[in-house]
Amino acid sequence: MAVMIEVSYDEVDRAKQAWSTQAETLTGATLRIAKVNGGGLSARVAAEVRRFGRRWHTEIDSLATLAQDNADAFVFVKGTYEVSDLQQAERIRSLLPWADRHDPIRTA
Amino acid sequence: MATIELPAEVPAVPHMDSQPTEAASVAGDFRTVGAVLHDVQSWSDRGAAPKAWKGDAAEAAGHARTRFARRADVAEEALQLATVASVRFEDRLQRLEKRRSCLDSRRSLVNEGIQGLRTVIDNRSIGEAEARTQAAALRRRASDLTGDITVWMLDLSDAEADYVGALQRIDTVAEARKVAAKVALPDTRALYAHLRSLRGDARATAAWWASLTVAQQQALMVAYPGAVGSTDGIPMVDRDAANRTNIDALRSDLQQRAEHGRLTRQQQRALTNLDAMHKIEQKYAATVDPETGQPLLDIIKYDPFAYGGDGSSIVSLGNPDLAGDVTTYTPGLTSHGGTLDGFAQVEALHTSMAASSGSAATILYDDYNMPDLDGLPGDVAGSPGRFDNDLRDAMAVASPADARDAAHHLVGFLHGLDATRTYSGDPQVTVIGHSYGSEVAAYAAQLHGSHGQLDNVVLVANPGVPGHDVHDLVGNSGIHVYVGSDDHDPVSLLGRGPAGGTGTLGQDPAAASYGATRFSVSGGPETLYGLTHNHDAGSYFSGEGLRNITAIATGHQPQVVAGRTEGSYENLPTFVRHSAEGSLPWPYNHLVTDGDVASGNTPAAHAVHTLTGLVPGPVKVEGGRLALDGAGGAVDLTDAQVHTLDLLAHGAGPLDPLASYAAAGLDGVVPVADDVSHNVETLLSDLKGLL
Repeated sequence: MAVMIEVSYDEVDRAKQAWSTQAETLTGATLRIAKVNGGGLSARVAAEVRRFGRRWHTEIDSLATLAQDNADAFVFVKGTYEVSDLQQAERIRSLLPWADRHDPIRTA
Repeated sequence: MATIELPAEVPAVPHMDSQPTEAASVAGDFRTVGAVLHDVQSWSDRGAAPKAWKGDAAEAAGHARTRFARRADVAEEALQLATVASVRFEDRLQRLEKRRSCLDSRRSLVNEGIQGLRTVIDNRSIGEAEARTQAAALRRRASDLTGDITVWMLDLSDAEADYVGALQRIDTVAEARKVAAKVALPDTRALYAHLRSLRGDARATAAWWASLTVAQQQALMVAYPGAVGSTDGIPMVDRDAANRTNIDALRSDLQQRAEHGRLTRQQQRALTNLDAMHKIEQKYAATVDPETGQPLLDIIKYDPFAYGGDGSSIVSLGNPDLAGDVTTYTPGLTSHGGTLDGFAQVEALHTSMAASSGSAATILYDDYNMPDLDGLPGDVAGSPGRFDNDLRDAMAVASPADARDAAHHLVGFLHGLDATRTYSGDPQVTVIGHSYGSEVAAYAAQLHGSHGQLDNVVLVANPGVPGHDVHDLVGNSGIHVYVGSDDHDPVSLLGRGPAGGTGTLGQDPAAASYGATRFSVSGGPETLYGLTHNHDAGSYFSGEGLRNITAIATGHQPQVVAGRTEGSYENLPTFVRHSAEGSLPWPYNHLVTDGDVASGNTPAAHAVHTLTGLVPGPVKVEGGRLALDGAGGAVDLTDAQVHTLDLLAHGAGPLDPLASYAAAGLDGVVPVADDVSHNVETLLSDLKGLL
């Protein structure tokens, strides 16, 4: 059973690239926040700065992973994007802009 | 004498374990991460369900990009709040540091008083009544001081507790969401729109910025760091913080793309520019201006993508808002803003100014499309693919249009300095331009007139200025016009003057008839080498030239010399011919070594190729003898001479070959090559073609 979303190739391609870019950007942010150590501040302040940094490092890292997973959801095979089943089609559609949320998914 | 009760000496005021500079550094880190999150959030939000969505909530919740946008939103808000908390903490620490300094001074006085009174009592050189009176006064002062120190310690503890509390309140996603909902974060889009509406009016911008809360300022700096960093009228300390945020976020992003092999050519150039900026940031990371106690380096504007990838930058050593002597330097031909070309001159000048006046700020103004001849014939360092842009740059050398345009921006920048200046005395403001930069400086002086603070304009190695004389340039504005022109600098001979000159760019300001004040410079040799070396900014910003520029910039008189008159100097063609006729030895014959010249990888080799197109024969330095194949003969060398040549040939030594050559004691030992004359003709032809 073939599944397809009625959306242009270019739009899907742009979405995949954009998710990849967000993943890279967020990875850069994780590296930056990981370096925050509060040296030159008192022990209790530095400890809290580090704790804060660790907590948000975890969240930003998680966002980076999610962005990369979203980019990877677009499977490019033999010159086109492949959708294997209805569930994957719905996932991809929800990664596209809000305006595309009703783009038809067809099965044949 | 009866017992007199002296107070105990007041113990030292405790040191602050938390330093304001470190709080600022943490704020900078949080701001940078916040700026990155803002970019991600903005992208995701553009494709998410509207925040005011009134439809089916499940539909919005089921949309993955909307969920992602909401999560990024909370993260950005948390980092924004953490930035604000850190900036407030830094501000409190700065005030506490000042109070500590005052307390420490009071303590010294009180303890000195106690020790002094003890001494005179021991010496019995004071009466009992007087001793009792003084002791009572000292007890009161010591008691008051001890109380003030206690209050200060409590305030420090409160500042730290407040900061820790602020971070703790937002250190989980759920908590951050709750706090963000309560505090009503600033509307950054509205603030940004207002900031844009004020562009071009530095005074209005300064007044508006001062009216914002810390939270509003920081929100703008997180969301639009590039815009805040480049707007005239915003205080330098805030522009610096915003620019560092922008630079860090951009660099981090481009590094990530580079790791994944996804850099475009344009991004690659930008990353090269950012790396150059980063090196300078690192170099000055721990350097503080002794006059202000603030970091010495201020980044006032930086765009690594500007001007077709050349980049733009305005950086300062010393804070221009606080300094008494403020100098803006505009470099010329071949300068790139992205890589901060001309910064070496700013460093030299700042060191000299700070030694002379103390309260100095020296600004590199690399924010215009400077002529850049990379890629033109004869340029060995040019990068392929940039020819069109460079050709346009070269054409601009012959036209003052770009200089006038650049001058408009420079005047806007000077007005921005006026708007944010907090220096309480009478400031000394100077604009210095070198080569094409001096043309920009001249036009800026003409445009500026008496609208704001500009005391001096210094034209160094100028190729021609507008107007017939100095009055045409600055009228009755009171701006003093100074000129530094070496008679052996070919570019300074281009202006229309008593001995000729093409006059493409206007009058020679070094001419006596122009009416400017001409100061002495070190002066270079009349050699082929001097044709380019004598025009280098480095040769003006050293020795006598640097001393005189410093004098002007710090409100003193330079060493004045007579302006050019007919017969007092050579015009360009005569100068070039004399340079070539072997009246002085031509040092390039020596600056070669086996293979290195041919491969073109050393500064000396570049100089030889660029100037003459010659590739002198291979040279052997063996056993203290220098053999020059093709030039004939050989000379004995000392170990020091061999070492100097070795350094030169491998590019590891000083980049002033003439000076090093002279230091090696080799002047005049080798005859000029036979084919020099031919190359002089070619060089003259190239110069005429370009200028």
